[in-house]
Amino acid sequence: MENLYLQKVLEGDVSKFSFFIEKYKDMSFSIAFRITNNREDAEEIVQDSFLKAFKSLNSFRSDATFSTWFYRIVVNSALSKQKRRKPGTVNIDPDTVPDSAIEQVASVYKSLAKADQQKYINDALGNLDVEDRLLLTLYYLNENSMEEIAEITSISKQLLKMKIHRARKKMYIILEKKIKSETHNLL
Amino acid sequence: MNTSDIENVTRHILAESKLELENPDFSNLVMHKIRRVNRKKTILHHTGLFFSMLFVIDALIIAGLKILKINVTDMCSNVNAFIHEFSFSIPGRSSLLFQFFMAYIFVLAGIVWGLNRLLASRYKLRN
Repeated sequence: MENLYLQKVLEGDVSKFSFFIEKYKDMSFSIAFRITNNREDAEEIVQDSFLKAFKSLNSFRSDATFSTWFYRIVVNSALSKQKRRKPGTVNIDPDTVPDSAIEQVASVYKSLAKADQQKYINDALGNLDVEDRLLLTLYYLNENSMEEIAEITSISKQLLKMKIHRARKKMYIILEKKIKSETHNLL
Repeated sequence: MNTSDIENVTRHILAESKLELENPDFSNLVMHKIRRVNRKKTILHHTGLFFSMLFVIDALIIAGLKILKINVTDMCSNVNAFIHEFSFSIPGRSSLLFQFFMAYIFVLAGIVWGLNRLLASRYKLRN
């Protein structure tokens, strides 16, 4: 299906490119936002990425998937924009937390209202490193495979597994802290 | 909790972090920019193509006239007299050639511009 639209665009039917915009705009926005932590910047990055993708469509290899190729453009654009900004993250050592703590956090999280869940998870992600946020978004939200993430981020597959594991732990630590501090404030 | 459970729970938790673009005109805006980029690219491509085509046609005409030993200025005495008079009224022959060349380029540019306008209107109808 995608290849058909791609072929049409390459043949000069520019209007068919809207298919790709509609399909990938929200997910690429999520990725760009997780890197920049700013809605305006993320929207601008997604716009620029679509333009870049259109301009270099001729160089796209048909043996790769369009999504992987496009997300790579989004990630690179967002990272180059992010480099100019000072990151505001929290230093956490994920090795100090056992896996059993995850169960506890998950059960408390499940009991929260949907709006609160969204608030906590977005806050928690906002406090992680750019790389951790990106990896969690690609792996758990976008459900990309390890191979695809390796291609998008240029991180080796062996290293990816470990990085995702650590990022997940860090996320649970922050989530636990956020939930605890909020319930403490309420009491 | 085994690894698979943790994976599922994390996937469930992160599903709530999905974001959507709030700008309802986003797609139209991007498509507008893409059309503009494409139009510029097409015009540039056509300009190059038309210029080279016109140069080749003119070169072939000149080569044909040379081969057939046809001197256009001899055939047209009025033009010959004008050139003769004009060449004496300006400082040098190279300047005259330069001015002819510039005039030639301007005429070509006019033709290319007209052709591009014609194609652009057809392009707008198509996209």
